[in-house]
Amino acid sequence: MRPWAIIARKEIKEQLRSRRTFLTLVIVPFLVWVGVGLMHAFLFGSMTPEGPLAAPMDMHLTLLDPEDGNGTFGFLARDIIMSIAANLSVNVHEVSYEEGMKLVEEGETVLYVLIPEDFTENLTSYGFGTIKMWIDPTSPRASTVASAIEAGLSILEQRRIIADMRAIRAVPFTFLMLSFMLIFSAMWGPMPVITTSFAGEREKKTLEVLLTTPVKRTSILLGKLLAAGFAAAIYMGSSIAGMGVYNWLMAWATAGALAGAEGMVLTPEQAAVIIASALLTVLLSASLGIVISCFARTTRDAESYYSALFTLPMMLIAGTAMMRFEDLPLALQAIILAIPFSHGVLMINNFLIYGKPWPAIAASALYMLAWAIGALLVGAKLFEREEIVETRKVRHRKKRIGLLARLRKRSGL
Amino acid sequence: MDEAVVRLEEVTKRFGPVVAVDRLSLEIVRGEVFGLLGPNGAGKTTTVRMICGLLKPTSGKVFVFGYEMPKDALRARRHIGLLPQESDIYEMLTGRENLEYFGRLYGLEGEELKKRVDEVLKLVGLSERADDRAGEYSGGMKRRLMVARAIVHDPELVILDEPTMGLDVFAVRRIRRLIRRLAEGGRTVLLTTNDLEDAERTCDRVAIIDRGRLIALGTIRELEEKFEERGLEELFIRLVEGEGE
Repeated sequence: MRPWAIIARKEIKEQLRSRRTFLTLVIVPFLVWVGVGLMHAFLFGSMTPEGPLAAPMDMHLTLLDPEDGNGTFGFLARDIIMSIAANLSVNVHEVSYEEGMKLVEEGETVLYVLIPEDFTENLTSYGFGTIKMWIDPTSPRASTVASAIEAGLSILEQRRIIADMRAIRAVPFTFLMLSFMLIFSAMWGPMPVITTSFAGEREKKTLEVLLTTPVKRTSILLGKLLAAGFAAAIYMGSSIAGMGVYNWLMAWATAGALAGAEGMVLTPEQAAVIIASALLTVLLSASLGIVISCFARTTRDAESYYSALFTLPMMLIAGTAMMRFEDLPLALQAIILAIPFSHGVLMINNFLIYGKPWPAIAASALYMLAWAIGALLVGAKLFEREEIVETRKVRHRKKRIGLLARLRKRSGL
Repeated sequence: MDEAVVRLEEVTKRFGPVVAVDRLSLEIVRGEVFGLLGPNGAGKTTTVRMICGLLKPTSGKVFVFGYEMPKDALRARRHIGLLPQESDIYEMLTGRENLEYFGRLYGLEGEELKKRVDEVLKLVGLSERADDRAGEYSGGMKRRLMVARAIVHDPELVILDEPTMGLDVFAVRRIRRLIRRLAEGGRTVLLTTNDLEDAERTCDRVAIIDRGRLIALGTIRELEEKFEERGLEELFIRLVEGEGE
């Protein structure tokens, strides 16, 4: 065999035997695309009237145009809206004006259309009429339906119809961006410290000396956890400063036209929820990092495990960050709710967009805390194992007995 | 009667099907330099780890200063200083900071800590480079710093696992002198080594183990007389090869 072939063969053999290679070359790229796929599937799938990700949608409609024959165009517009809605698999509920406005104020509808009492009169007298629409900007589906209605009604019997669109709720775009970046920073911030602090000490065999000191392993764990928290705090601080510059650039470039780009002042309540969410994410990330590091023999191994484990949740969180959670199919909602990192984003979304439902925010915080404590307990248990210092397989693996052999044994053959 | 600092009673350690230490019994008494000798894979490091309470014996008992390991490890560890076989230092810290860190973990503080760190730095010949980053040290200097780390809290039992491995002749001589000095100061030293010259020059008693089993125990002179061999190397080869056969 030629020297280059011998070298290539040896290199490939090493790569194939490395768990890290498998993770970085197979698992992570695959997960990235699965994550991006899911993210886009949520986003675009939820806009479509059909398809597996299309959730049922309800909208509300009020027709105030008189029924005495002077409101002909109002009835025509209502029929067109009904027809468009039927084509887009949307259920239309006709409500009174008072009921409709109450739904809007309480954020209980994603789309409310009002055909005013002077609609026909304006169309016939001035050649144009206005319908009013209140849309939830966090529902891509509602925005799609609203656009379809606007397009369908733009010309009615040679007369122009103007859609006066209003947002049901404000979406503070820049605040949300800042919050999500903060959550991502909190997820990744502790990684270098945790991997170096645990797997790195293991790799360099300094852990053995540390474990021989008269210090409880829980104290060692706590010390390292605090150091990871410190690193994450620096990372988050730096991210916030960077986001401040980002926000300023946005405000400068758009000359204040973009909603939410004018100021960066958070209320104490907002700041408290965002910081609590970020701190819980840091704690969770560090706790899971400890568990990961207890299995990794080297820093690079730990970093690969970290990336593999965090990629998918990150993509899912990004996909659900600015869209209405209820628009997703139940199975996906369940998956997202099960992933503890999603709750950092849900806490912020709930606070900044959905009118501070405190029980939901508290439930998210408790869920993250429970996961973090659980991971810490598992980490502490793993840290007590002999495998931490002894790299040989300490546990005796039971000899596997095949199904046939087991059946034979049971039947006494 | 001599007081046993370390006592192993019929200690066995298995890793799955592999028996690393097999019914090992021995005692190390206060103030002696005890050599644990054996070829690679004989079970020396596993024995050291059980003595430090890092590994739990599969069967048998390990006592250090009367404390059962690993059950009472935290109490016993206050009196133990360990230099593991393969270890490193914190390269981002200076030599002094490395020692201060471990000194503090053993409860030293203030003037006492400073005095002790200065003492051990002088003892291993690193005073002049104490405030340099440890990452800039040569291999020999790093190993000396590790020895200093093992003794910074003035432990009663110093465990040195292959302390001279990979060192030049000057560093080896310095460490051998240090071992003798520790013993003269009333410290007990457990030395595990492949280097028989280390053992010959420093140990009061030796135990030779192979494949986890104790095959000889006593002073070098006692063993030479018992097995009618001159020199530890000849004795070691004969005993280990005999076991192999």
